[in-house]
Amino acid sequence: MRYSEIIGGIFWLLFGILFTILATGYQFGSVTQPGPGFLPLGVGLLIIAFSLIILGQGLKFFKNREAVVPFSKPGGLKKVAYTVLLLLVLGFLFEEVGLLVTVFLLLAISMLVAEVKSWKRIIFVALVTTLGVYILFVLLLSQQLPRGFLSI
Amino acid sequence: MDIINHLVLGFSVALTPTNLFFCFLGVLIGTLIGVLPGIGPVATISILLPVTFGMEPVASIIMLAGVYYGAMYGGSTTSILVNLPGEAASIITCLDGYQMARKGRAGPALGISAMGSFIGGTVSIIGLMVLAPPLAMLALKFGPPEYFSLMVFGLTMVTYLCVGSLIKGLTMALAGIAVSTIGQDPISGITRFTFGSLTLMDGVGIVPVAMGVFGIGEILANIEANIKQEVYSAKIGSLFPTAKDWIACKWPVIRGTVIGFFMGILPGAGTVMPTFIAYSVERRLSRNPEKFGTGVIEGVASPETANNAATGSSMITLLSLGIPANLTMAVLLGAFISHGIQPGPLLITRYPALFWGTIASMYIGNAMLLVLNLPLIGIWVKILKIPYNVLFPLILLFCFLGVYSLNQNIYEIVIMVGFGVFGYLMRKFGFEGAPFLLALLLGPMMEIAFRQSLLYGDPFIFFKRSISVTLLIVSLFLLITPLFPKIAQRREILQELED
Repeated sequence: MRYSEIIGGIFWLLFGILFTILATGYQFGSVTQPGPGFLPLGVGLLIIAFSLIILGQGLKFFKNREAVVPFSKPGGLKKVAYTVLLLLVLGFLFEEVGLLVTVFLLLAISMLVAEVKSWKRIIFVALVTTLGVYILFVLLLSQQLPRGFLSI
Repeated sequence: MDIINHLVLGFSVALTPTNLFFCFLGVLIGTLIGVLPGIGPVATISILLPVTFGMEPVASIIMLAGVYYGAMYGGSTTSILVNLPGEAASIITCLDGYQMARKGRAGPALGISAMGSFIGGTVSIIGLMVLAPPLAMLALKFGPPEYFSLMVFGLTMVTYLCVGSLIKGLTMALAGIAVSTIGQDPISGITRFTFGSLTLMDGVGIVPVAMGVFGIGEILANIEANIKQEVYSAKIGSLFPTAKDWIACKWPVIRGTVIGFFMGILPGAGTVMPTFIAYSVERRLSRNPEKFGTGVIEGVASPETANNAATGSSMITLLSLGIPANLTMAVLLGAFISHGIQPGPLLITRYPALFWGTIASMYIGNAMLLVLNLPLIGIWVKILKIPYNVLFPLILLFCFLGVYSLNQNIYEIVIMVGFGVFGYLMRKFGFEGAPFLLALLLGPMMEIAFRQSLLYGDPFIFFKRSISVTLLIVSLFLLITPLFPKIAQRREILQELED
């Protein structure tokens, strides 16, 4: 798993550099009069330093040719991507389409992604839960959730 | 006797019908989400938070605390019957718990977990009751340098206690502080790193991030691994451990209580690490260490006692210093603040009914859990039979609605999903989420304490005050220990246990 150090190290190095550059945009102040940029700059520089150590460790092991474990199971990554996409799309549409449609779609599609084979089960679980959520959140807890175009 | 008067006050608060009901509701919900894998007390308390806005502060804290310690009871059920941890604090219970179930001894395993939890939980409340008030008095003497050093110590502890690479843990902690600076600068009011976003003006909320990193991140990892559970419910048998079991478990329960309690106090230790330590201590002390992992009851009793013993003690720093010792406490801190109560040294004297009422409710709640849990096992088994691919969409849904209902802001859903992907990737690359989240939470408090300390006019002030310098030296010591080979070896063993 030594790829993890290399990829992780690069990720944090880039993050550290970006953060440090942005931090210089704020007033640094002085050691006895620290400004808003004081702590971010210090933290950014430390992240750069640590990420370089991690990267160094990764490269050292990489040279020793340790066993490399595959990143993901076949097909697994696709399911992850679909789930993330689903959550984002529904997140943006939530206030437009409203609670009931969102809940139903979220459940039905994520069950499809998780390979629930039976259509009957998908529709049954999604419908029952949508109804349950409506009763619990809207009728019992009277939470402010978007009604959407159905206006319920 | 002061403490008796206080307890009388506490019980008079906790025993009102409303508070009893919310205590019951809290522990019941806690056990349920403890049983369910993938949803823990952090996510649940976050979801319940908006619901409690309209409640009395005492009732809401009683209920949310109940969710926390109730979850520790529930987690073991899943570990024993499904070989899948219902809660992170029950990971280690899978090793011997599931093996006991396979040998037809699921009953005694569940029984000893519940009883050990009760003992550990109750002792830990006594400790909380005895230690929190004097600590609060001491904390009144703390100035910004002490607070800053204490938080540095907390972050060092959480990094140190993480399995795996220390340097990765430190990087995650620093990243957490970096993200915590997004939003308004707590001193000058200037906005930082917001890129003009209104949502980011208030900073990145701890709830969407916690639900993202721990809730969504874990679900994504599970979807990818395509896990399927097999519930072992053929024969649970009598739930009561035999006399022989009790003799075997006497010391593991006592040791589990002590380890859990003292580790729980430490900021950053949470409820997971004590279980690992308790288990490895038992294995080391056992006459037959090779039998661990084959279904010995000590391997269930000790960690399950330890995680409950850590619940009461982890509330000590929150209630006396205002510093949350772990993530659940962090969300609970949010609950206090939403009711206009600032946890800190003055909490106990200003709100005695709240403090002592919560303590009393925890005694009651632990007793309820013991009585409730064993008869309800049948129901938990039924719930555990829901296939994971039906269960996880439900958990996703609760995260989704929970985050939205907090502020009615869809961008917080986006933040949650973003941090879900982040949590998933960090898991893959062996970076721990806990230091990141604790740092994100402590970040603003740390920055204020840090900058206020520097205003004293001396950059070395942290090393000139005794409490502060002691905390910093201990932190430094912890950070350099991995350089010594023997300790590094032990960390590797812990990592193997985790795998």
